[in-house]
Amino acid sequence: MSKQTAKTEQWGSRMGFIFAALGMAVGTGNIWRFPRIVGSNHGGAFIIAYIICNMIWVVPLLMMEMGIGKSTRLGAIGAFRDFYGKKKAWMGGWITWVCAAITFYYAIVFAQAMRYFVFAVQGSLKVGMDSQALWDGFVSDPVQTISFQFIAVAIMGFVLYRGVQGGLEAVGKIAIPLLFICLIGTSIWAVMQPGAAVGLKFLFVPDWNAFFTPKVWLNALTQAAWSAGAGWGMMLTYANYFKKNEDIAANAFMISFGDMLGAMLGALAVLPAVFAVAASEGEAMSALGAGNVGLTFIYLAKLFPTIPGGNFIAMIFFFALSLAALTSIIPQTEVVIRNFVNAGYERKKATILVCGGCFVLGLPSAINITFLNNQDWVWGIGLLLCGLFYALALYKFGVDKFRREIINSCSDIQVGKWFNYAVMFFPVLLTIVVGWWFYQSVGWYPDSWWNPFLTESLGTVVFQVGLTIGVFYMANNWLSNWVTSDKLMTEGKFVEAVEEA
Amino acid sequence: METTTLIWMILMLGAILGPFIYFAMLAGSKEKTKTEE
Repeated sequence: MSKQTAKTEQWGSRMGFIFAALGMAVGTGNIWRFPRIVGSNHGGAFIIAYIICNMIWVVPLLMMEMGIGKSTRLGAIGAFRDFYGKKKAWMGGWITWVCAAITFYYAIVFAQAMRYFVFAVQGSLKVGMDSQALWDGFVSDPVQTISFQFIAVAIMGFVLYRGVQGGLEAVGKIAIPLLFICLIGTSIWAVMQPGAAVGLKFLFVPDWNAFFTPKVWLNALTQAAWSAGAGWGMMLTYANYFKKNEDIAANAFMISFGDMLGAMLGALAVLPAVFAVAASEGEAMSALGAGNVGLTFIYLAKLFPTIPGGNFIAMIFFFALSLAALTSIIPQTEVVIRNFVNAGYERKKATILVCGGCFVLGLPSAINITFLNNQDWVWGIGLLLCGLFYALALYKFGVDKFRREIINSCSDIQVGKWFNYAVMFFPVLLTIVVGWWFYQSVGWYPDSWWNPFLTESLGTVVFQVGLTIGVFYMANNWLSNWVTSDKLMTEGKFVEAVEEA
Repeated sequence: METTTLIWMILMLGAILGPFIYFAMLAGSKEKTKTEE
């Protein structure tokens, strides 16, 4: 065993890892995006498509991440350098950048959830209040947004500073059971509301005509790709801390189904309540079409106080949303910290450096909500591209070899050749999904889709993604030499095998 | 609540909760073996 591996921190227990991994997967997307998307895509039909998309995109991608992370025991930059090749370190660098760019604004999302929890505790959410004015007042006040951003970054920094067992694992063991208890409690409350049956019917009974429409499948694939945290480099990083016999296949399935369970609980907490309170199905659909922020911070904030016990439920709901954000932002930041540790930085120093950077680079999103929306749009697309990089790395290594030697060698379930087909199909799926989003964005700005300065234009994605890919590609050699930890692999071959040959 | 809704609710939740419990137990089970060893 190399010197670096011997020093690498490890998960203290399997349960500790399971909770931390569930924390990574279950985020705000499960609570504020899934209910909205399932509601606007014919409920039950969407859920079936969503389960299938998880199996063909999320599970294989999580297996790829875990396999590469466990084999190299390095963060994304070193992992791509050693697993894919010395000329590909930039891909790991770009994946780290995408994760970091999301973290910059995700701290604001965490801050927003915390602010609304505080609003609920203060009793600011009451019948007849103007929820739009409350939201506008908060996001247009930099003192408030930056203060809550600072608290968010400080909390995540405190957890990460304590390391793998004392920080990531300890928080997961408390936060995840608490999050699920909150979601289950809110769901039970929502389902018991008079008129909730309409929402339940909408959520669960499939509309088979819709099931065969491309829109349902494209939304299902996008939700699956964004929700479970596959492709961000988080599971690659967490796999660095695996024990030798950690089961890749069981963990990948467990994380994917855990994410879906979190999403279903989110939908059960939101949809029946929306349908119960809305005057008509049309009004409910209009609330679901109001976007993540519109549904959560404007519609639900107004809805909760109108129902008996709603104030207390609002507190629980926004507390759950804050926990979901916390358990997701921790692994996102860990992706960046791990690379600094691999470059020789002491963990505590790396944590302070990275968290400080996250705070400073998140300020534009804290001050300007339009900038946050722009970053969310650009790096959401960037995230889909990350999945392609993992697939390319596997094509070089050998997809079937990876399945047999990396996954199945340590898994109770033997993964079949379906994995090979799913990985080979990745570029096709990616082209379809990204192409669809680009087509939509052209529709949003028919005359100025090329303009890189518009919030959600095609031009802004091409400009920012293209620019950063260019920068990381140019910096490949520097990145490759920056990571100084001992190598377990080189050019996709285990060092021991190379030495023996 | 209509019977159809109830049946689909049980089916959908079962299709997600069932595999989750199975895989979570599988992922956690090796720890038990190791402890016994």
